[in-house]
Amino acid sequence: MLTHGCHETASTEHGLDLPVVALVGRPNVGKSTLFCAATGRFAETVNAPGTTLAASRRTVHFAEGDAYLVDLPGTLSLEGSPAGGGPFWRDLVEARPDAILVVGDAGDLRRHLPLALACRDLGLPIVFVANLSDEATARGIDVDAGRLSQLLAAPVHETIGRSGRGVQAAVAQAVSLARQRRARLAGAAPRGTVPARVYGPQLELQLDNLARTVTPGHSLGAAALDTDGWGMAEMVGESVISARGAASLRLGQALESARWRVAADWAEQVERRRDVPVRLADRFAVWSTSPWPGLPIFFGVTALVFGTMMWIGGTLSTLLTNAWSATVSPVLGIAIHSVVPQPVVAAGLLWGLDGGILGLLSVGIPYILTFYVLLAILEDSGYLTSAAVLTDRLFNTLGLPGRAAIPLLAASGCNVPAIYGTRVLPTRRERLLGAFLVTMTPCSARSAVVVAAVAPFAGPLAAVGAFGLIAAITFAAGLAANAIIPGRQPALVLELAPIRRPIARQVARKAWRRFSDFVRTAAPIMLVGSVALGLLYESGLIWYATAVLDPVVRGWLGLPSVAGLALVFAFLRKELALQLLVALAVIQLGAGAAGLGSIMSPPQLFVYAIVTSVSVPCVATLAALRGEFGWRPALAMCGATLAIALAVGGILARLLGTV
Amino acid sequence: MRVSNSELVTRVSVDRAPIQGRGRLVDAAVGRPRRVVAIDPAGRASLSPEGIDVGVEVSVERRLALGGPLIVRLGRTRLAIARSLAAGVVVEPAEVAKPGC
Repeated sequence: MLTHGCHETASTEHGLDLPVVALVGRPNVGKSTLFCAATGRFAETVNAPGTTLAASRRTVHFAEGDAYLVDLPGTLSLEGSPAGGGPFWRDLVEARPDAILVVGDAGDLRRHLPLALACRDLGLPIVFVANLSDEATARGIDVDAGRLSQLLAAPVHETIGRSGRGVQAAVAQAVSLARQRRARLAGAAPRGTVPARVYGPQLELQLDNLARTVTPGHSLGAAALDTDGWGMAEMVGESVISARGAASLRLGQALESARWRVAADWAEQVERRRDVPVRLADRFAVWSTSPWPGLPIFFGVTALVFGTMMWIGGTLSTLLTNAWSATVSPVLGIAIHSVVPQPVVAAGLLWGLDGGILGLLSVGIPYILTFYVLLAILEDSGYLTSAAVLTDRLFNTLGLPGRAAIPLLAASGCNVPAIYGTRVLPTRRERLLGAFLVTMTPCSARSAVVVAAVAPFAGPLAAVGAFGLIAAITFAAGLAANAIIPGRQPALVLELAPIRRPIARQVARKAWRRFSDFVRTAAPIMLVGSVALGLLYESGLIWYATAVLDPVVRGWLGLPSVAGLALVFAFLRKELALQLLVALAVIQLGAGAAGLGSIMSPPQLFVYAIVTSVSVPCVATLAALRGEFGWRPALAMCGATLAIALAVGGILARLLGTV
Repeated sequence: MRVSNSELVTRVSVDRAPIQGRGRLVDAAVGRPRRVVAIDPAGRASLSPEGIDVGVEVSVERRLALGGPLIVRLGRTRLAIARSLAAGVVVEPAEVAKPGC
C-alpha cells in the first residue's frame, strides 16, 4: 500500500495497460497539493482559481503494481471549461480514467458534492476525498464519513493534503478500484456500476430514455447523442463511460441543478456542527475585502512586496555583478580573444557572452526570482483574490477584472512572465487588453533607465513626475484599447479564497519553475540580442541608422542622433539604453560626452526617458506576445506603443521647449 | 415591493402574488438571509456553477463602493459578484416560506 517513489513519465506508450486514476475537484481545494503528497513530486498550486492549466500525469508505484495518476485543472462542473477550451468532461474522458478520485472540501460539502455526483453519473468508480479536514475541524465542522459513503455508494476518505494524512489510503483505494474495472473490462462481460437513483422520477426517466439510445446496437445511438460530433456512442461502445454517463452529459444544466439540491440535502445529513470562535484567518479574509482596513492592508502589502523586491534584488544584484566581473569576466575576455582572431567578432561575442549573461544575472536572478517568490507567497496565502475584488472596480474601467492586478504587478518586474501571467484572465479579449497594459508598464530595467536619466539631472521630483506621466499614459491607452477592441467584459463571479499559511516547499518550487520558464524564453533572446548589438556596434554599422532616424529623432523629438540609435537598439537590451547612449556619445563626441548631462539637457533627458519607457518593448517581450497571441496582435501592440511614445515625446519636446 | 426595470422582477411579481420583501439581490439589505426565487437566464450559466440557484439561501456581506462588486455569503463560501449579475437575481427574505415551483 506504500508508494516507493515515482517519476514523471516521458511517454505513455509503455504503460497503456496501466490503470488510470483521474483527480477531479473544484479549484483551490488542494488537489495539486494532494497529487504532490500522493506522488512525492510537485505540481504547481495556487490558492486562487485556475492554475493547473494543463493536466500532469505521473506514475505511482504500489506494492500490487503501478498506476497512472492524472491531475486535471480545477473545474466548477463537468460542463465548465477551466482551461478556456472545450468542456472539462472532454479532457477527463480523453485521459480514459478507470476510476476518479474526487477531491472536495470537508468544510463545505454542499459545494463540492455536485461534482462527485457528476463523476459518479459517468458510470466510473469514484473515491471521494474530504480534503482540508483540519480546516473544517477548526471551523467546527465534522463530517460523518461513514454516512456520506453510504449516500454516495462510494468510499469516502478524510484527508489533510498539507501533511499528507489519509492521502495514501485514498489513492490506494482508487487504484484498486481502477484495477478491478480494468479486470472486468478485460473479461467477457463488462459490468457497469449502477448508481442509486437520486434525481427524482422525472429526471431519472429522461436519463433512462437517453441512455437507451446509446446502448450498443441501438439504431438511434449516434443520431440522438452525437449532435455535436463528440463521439459519445463510441465512448459508450468502448466502455470509456456508461450509457447513463453519456445521457447525464447530454442533460447538462437540468441535472446540475438537481445535483446541487441532492448535495445540499446530503451535506445537511452528514455535517456535525460545533460552535467555535471565528478563526483569525477568516476574520482577516473579511477585513481584506472591506475598504477599512482592506485598503491600508492592500497598500501595505504592495509597498512591502516592492520594498522587499528592491532591497533583496538590489543586494543580490550588486553581489552577483561584483562576483562576475571579479572572476568570470577577465577569464572570458582572454579566452574569447585568444580563440577568435578577428577583433570585431571577438568583441561582439564578448558583448553577448559577458554582457548578456551578466545582464541576466543582474536582472533575472535578483529581481525576477525574488518577485516570483513573493508572488507565490501572495498566491498561496489566498490574499490575491481579496486584492482582486478590492481593485475590481478600478480595473473595470479598463475592461479588465480585478484579477488583472496580478500580471500587472508582475510586469513591473519583467514583462515577459507577466504576459504569460495574463492567462489567468478568462477571455481572449481580456488577455489582449491585459497584455497591452503589461507592455506599457515599465519593467525593472526600464524603471532603472527612467530613474538614472531623470533623477540626477532634473531632481527626484521630476523622476516621480515621469512615473506619474507614464502611469497616466498607460491608463489612457488602456481606456482607448478597451473602447477599440470589440466585445464586452464578462460580469465578475469570483470565489474568495480563504486565507491560508503558504507551504514553503511549494512556494520555492513554484517560484523556481516559473523562473526557469522565464530563463528558457528570455535568455536565448537576450544573448542573441546582445551579440547582434555587439557586432553592429563594434563594426560601426550602427551609424548607418542615423540618417534614417534623424528626421524623427532630431526633428520631432528634439534629441541628438546618438539618442535615436540608443532608442532603437534598446529593443535588443532595454536595460542597456543608457550605457549604450553614453558609449555611442563618447565615440561620436569624444571623451567629454562621458556623462549623460553633457549629451543632453535635463528636458531632453526627460523626453528620452519617457520615450524609452513607453515605446516598443524589448525583443523578449515581443517574442512572448507572439507566442501567446500570434504575430498580428503582437506587432499591433508594439506599433501602438511606438506611436504613443512618439506622440507623447513630440508633444513633451514642444512643451519643454527643446524643439 | 421595489419597482425595477428588470423584466424578470416584473414577470415574477405578475406570475405570483406579490410577496412582501421580494426584490433584487443587488438591493438586498446587508447581513440579512435571503432566498433566491428566480435568476435571469442570461446570468444563470455563470452563477449556478458557483452554487447560486433557485432555492439557495444567501446573504450580502458587503457592497463595494462606486459600483464595485457585491460580496455574497453562501454558507461558508464568499463570492464576489458583479452588480449587473446580482441585478438579475430575485430574492425574498429567507423566513418567508419557499413558493412551490
